[in-house]
Amino acid sequence: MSFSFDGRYLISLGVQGENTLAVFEISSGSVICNAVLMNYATNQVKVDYMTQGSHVQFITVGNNASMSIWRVDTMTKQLTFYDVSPPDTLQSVNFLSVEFTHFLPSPVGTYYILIGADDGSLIAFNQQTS
Amino acid sequence: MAATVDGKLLAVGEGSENPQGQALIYLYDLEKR
Repeated sequence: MSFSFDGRYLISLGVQGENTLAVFEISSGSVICNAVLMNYATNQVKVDYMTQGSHVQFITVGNNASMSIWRVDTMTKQLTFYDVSPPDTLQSVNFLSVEFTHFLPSPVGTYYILIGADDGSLIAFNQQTS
Repeated sequence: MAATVDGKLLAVGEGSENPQGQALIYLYDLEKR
């Protein structure tokens, strides 16, 4: 589970086997949008606190090096996602956890997405922000 | 389990489905305990 920065939304992953993702609006207690995840087990969801305004952006990571970037438009309640293709060398590892680092906060522009994998490795992705 | 950055809310997910087949999330207001 992961809260949005302002505490108004909570993103949760369903139990393994259901592979569901739900975005809760705290004030109403209701699910404003949801999705069925890809076949692989998804291990963690983490909101990117750098994104603010009328949308919430977050990342899910899971087995077989699966990683997706999601965005909820809180006005239209539309959920979109983008699957990140890992390098071939990572295909066999499982991503267990994800965290953002804000070494160089906006507007400088570059920060890292850190992923912990089950082979003991720590993988850092560069993300360019606008 | 996840908490808001201001420390006001805590969400706790039930580890497995209960007998009714529901997975539950408990939301705590930490200011009200």
